[in-house]
Amino acid sequence: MNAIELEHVSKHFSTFTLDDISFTVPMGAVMGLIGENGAGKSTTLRLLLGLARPDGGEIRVFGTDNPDKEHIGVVFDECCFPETLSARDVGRVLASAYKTWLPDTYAAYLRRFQLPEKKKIKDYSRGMKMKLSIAAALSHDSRLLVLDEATSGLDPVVRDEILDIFYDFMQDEQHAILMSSHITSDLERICDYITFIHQGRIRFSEEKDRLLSRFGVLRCDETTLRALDSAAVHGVRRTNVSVEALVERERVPASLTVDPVTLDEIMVFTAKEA
Amino acid sequence: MRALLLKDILTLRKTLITYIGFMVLYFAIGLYSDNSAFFLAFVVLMCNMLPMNALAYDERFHWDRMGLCLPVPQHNLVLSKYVLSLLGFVVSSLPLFLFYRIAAQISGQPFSEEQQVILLLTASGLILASIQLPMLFWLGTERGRFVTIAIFLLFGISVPAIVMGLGPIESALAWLMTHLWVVLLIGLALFCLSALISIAIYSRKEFN
Repeated sequence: MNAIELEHVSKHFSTFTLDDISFTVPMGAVMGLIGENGAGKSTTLRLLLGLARPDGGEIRVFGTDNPDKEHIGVVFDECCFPETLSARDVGRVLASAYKTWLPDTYAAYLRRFQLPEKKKIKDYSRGMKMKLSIAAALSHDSRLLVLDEATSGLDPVVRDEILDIFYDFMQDEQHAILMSSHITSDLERICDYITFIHQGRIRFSEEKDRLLSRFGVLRCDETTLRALDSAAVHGVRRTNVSVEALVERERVPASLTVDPVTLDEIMVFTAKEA
Repeated sequence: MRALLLKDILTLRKTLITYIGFMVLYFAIGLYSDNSAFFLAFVVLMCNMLPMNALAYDERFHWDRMGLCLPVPQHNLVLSKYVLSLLGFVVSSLPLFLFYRIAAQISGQPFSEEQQVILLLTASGLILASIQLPMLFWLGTERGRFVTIAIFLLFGISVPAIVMGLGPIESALAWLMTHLWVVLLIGLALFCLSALISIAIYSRKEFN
């Protein structure tokens, strides 16, 4: 079963349109949503979570358009709990909301993250607030985690710790994660699939390993670049001294040296080309 | 619903303690001066402030996003504010009502005047909340509270003018005071209608 299915989803705003968004997140997989600011990542997640209504298309979670929220854990880019509450208060509130709330798991996460139970959230650092949101999302029977920039603004140590937790979460094949992030190194580490949204449209949505092996960066001169099959070139970056191109490895002559590419580079090249 | 109410009560914990402090003070003044109107006016004000404060906190911390991701019906996010307001009325007015009832019973004095004041102010509070809450859900707490104040002012000026235009105000007030249970029922009906309107407004909203 697929955890998430989006089919031809669209949403129109006065200055922006999210157009024909389709992708699937299978159970047991982690999908990374990448794109520049304002590309439509957060809008896509809002539509998925029912915070906004699509103008067209279909959205299914666990095969239905009305999923049981008991099994969906959500972490937004900022802590959405009132800051006058403490971690203990949050636990009490969520224990009343979720039938599957796991108080021991929640307490264990608070200890693991070194979050003082009685301290008000307003006195937490940003990292602590994000950890609290993650602890809450993981302390009920979540089978799908939806993470909107959950690791942004965190230092590398905290990010590493949080990615380890997501890694543990994915040990169960009946779990799935959809995460949007600007930090593509995080996505490279954890994701199985990558969807790149640019100016409200999907540029690609495929397996991460396949994507990284399919593309490469060719550093060459203008003459060499012009000699290439235009279909092989997906983006060009020119400096005073050289030309760099994002190319499909299979479509360029084997005699040329193509360097490995990162998700960041794919995003930058593709966005510039569009 | 329980989770949402608990969240509001825990969020407003400090505010509630302050309100209770004021209530005790006004209640003592009321007892001393043998006039509970001041206390009840405060109760009306407080019960209208409670959901507004709760909504202001929700807006400030984008709670709606989280609330809509919880396994609770969407309309409960609206109804919880109405229940909070109603709870305020019940928790603050009912003890007073019972207090005067028992006091009247013991002293053998008629109870009618205090009862009238309690019913009138509770009904007024319900009517005010019925106007205020849909405005807050529609426009948000910042703009909503100004529009509400404008409506109250308009209401406060126009109603006496209409009453005076129709006939001697004393007779209108006398009728009102003798039919307070009807006024209270109208207040409750408006409160329910208001909740339905707020649910409809909220269901059309989208959240960032």
